[in-house]
Amino acid sequence: MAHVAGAVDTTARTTATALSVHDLGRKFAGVTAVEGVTLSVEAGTRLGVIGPNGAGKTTFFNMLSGELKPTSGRIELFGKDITGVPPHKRVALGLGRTYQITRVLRGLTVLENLTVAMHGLSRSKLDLLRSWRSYSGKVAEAEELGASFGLRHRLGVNAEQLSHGETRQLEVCLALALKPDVLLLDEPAAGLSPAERVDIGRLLQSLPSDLTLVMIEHDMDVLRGAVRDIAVLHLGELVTRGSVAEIQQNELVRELYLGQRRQIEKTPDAIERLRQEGGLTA
Amino acid sequence: MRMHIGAPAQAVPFPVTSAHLSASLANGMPVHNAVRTWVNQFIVQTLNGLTLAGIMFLVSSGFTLVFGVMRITNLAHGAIYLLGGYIAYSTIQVVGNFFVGMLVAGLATALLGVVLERTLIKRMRGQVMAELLATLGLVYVINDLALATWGGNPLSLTLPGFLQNSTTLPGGIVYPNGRFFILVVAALIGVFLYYLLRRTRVGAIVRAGVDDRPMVGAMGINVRLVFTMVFALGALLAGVGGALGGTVFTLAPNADAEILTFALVVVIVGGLGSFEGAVLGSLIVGLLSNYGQAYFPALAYFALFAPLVVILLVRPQGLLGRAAA
Amino acid sequence: MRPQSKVVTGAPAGQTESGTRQSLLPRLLMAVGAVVVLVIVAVLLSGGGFAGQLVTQMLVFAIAAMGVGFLGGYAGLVSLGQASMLGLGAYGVAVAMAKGFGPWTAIGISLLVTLLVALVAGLLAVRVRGIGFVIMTLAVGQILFGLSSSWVAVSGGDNGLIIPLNPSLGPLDLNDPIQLSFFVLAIFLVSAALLWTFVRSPFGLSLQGIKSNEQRLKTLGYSTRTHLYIGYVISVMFGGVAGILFVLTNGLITPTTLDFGHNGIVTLMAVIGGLGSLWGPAVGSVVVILFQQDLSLYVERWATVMGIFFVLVVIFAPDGIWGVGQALVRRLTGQSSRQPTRSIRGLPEGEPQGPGTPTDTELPEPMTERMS
Repeated sequence: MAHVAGAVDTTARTTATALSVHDLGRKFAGVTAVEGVTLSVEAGTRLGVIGPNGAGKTTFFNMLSGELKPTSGRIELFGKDITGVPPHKRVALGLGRTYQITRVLRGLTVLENLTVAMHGLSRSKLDLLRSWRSYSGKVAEAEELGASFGLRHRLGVNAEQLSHGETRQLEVCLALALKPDVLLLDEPAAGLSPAERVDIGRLLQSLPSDLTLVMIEHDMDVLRGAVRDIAVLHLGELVTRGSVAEIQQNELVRELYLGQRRQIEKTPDAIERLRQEGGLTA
Repeated sequence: MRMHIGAPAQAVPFPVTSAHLSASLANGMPVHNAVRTWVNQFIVQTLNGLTLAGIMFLVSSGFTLVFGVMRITNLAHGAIYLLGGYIAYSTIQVVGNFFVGMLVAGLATALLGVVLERTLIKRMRGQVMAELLATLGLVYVINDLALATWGGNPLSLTLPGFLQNSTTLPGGIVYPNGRFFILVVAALIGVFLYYLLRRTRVGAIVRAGVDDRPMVGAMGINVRLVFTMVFALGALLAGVGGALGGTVFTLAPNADAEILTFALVVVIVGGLGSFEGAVLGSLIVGLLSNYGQAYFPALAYFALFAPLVVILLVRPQGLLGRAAA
Repeated sequence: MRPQSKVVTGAPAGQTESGTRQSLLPRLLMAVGAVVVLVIVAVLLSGGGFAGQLVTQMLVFAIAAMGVGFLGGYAGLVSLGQASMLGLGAYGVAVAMAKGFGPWTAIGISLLVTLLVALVAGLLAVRVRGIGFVIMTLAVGQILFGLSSSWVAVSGGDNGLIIPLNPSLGPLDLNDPIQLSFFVLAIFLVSAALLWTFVRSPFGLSLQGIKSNEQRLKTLGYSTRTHLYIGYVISVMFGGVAGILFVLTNGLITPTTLDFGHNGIVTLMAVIGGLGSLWGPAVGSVVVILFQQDLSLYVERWATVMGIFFVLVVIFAPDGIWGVGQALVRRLTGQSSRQPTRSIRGLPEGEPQGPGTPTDTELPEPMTERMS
């Protein structure tokens, strides 16, 4: 029986709910990318999000980080409704994110990248007069952050010249520099060689334990070491959720990935049946 | 802005401005006459505005097409307009026929477009800002060469005989034929372009190129050829616009900057890359600008730029522009 | 003096022996070069006459061009309206003096007016990026141009306005051309120093970040529009200050200075010299003014030559003359790695008619984002 985490109701809980979404949906002209997703993530836990391509995972993330407005539903961060909050303010509220197609600041060195991130939540980013190198505290923090994620010897290198794996590491560092309470990781292992995947896996394990993590990934090995639960999306809907072991053994999920059940009937009955099969009760 | 369509010289048996009108009323003109006069004058100004819109449409449609398909902001577009006007002038001097002049102007500027595209644009491989800056350099080159060839004195193009007369419209409005001619030509070209873009295969390719360039290339269509043709078409439209515009506005150094500014305002208002936007934008900007100049000369500038400001505040992608790249 | 000396070895900035030694030689060359140039300039200025006047104008336009280079090279927004801002600054002084204010008050009024215009125009300008921004600045520039020629009551129409009198600064009498030109030099150096400070500040870093990837900066907590707004205002003020110096050194201002041609030339100066380098635009100013003055003696079609030269620079040397010089120095001193370029190639296209934020109708970012 799949484990049901994240009940929809808002009764008092012993642990805080870090992130929750209610009936979240996004339609584009003619295409429903995400529909009716409801789940919540307890603080300090780690959730993986999987699903075949086109399942709406990145759209989902884009709504969480504020880059896309949902067409329905709402998002709450530690109980506060952030559905209408712009991206740069969500960051200030403790929500961080990395990108599947890396978005580091090319043209700047690794150290400069990290320094920019360090100033992100502080008034000092509008300082016109002091040299940024004179902010020795922030610079030291930036150096340390980079060093702790394998970039110690690459701080002076231009971000354009980093390898793919190093770019990923920098990507994660940038998000971490803002000391998020909740971190959204969008396919951190995508495009990495097996050796690099091991590195990323280790990086993920070394993340602070009180950090709440939601991670989109395809690689089960990476997921296994990094998350506790997995939620499965398909065609924009949340199909099921359970522990890593449960999901790996789940028939439905196997079929979705292996192709026998590419199409799910979208009638309410069929969806209800699926929900029951998958073990979600609401 | 110096460019506006002035009241036609031959057409003034009645007061031209509101000030004159008030004066006439004060002098005892009957009210219904005054109202009819005002209405007639308004119609004249509307026709003037449409004529201006027609010329702006020719220039801005070329500009927006090139931008839409190739992402190039051709700052030299105004200079090509001016060049077209000058070439038409010289051709008319030699041949004596305005229509030939207009044709030669269009062909010459189209040829120039082909040359520029093949030599310069090709080298910049889609670097949009670099292309924009390069066209800035071209502005100086074209202007200087034009200065060398035609001098700095303002030139005007004369229309063939029958177009120099005026037609009397119902209600006693007398309007120059030449301006009707411009309206007709602009409308015809507009219809032709619409047909070309919406109803032909070539047009579909062009529109697809606006939406998704790599796909068009992937479909095996010779994208290079399409680019060259589109750029040449843009230049042709500017050149023809110059020939027509030269009958109403003087051709002189700096006229290119004025027409470029108009074109830019039009395409921003209408939406960069949208052909229909160029039509709509031309109408709005042409009419508003002309009304502004005619009725509120002191605020004429603001009449031209007000639509720009409003659009940028309310709908930055333009009236008919798409929100995403 | 160079804004940032990047250490291209793998070591953290400035820590290894070889790292410091490698970055020392170019710095030394720079310092020596700077002293030499300064001496030459001082000599020419003190000699007065035509050469002195020319150098003074180069300095004036260098200030304006530096404003363009700052915004373009560091924030990625290219302005085509800087000459109009220069003109605004000039007219500010001239109009105020025509209304009876003393020279220093007039200068104060001019600065205030320029600031106000920058604050208002900036609100609109930062709503668009890339090409849209270029067009905006062009439009604003043309509005100012039109006003300068048609608002005759204030601006004197096409004849322009004359300054009756220059101020004096303590013992310095700015009516004396030579003293005035040294004053201009001083302001130029102060402007350069300010720019150098801005570029090295966290704010300057943020602008570069925005130029690299505005969307990313937003998710790092930056309100990017605010930063670009401030950058725009700074850039315009450089133009205004240049305008004040322009009208003091020329004694008059006419609408022609605000026309499209002049606006293009200031941008040309910044690009030819090298966007995104501190001294590039100043070099560009020297080169372009030399074209205008010296080349015109030998070649009647100097403008054509200048235009072609500009196109060639854009195609073959997008880092400008300064960039070429830097590359040369790097080769001579043995640094082979490519420096991050702050050139034309790095200019973001942006949404020409949008602020870079996805709107409701836009598809999710990763689908439209270019594969890096």
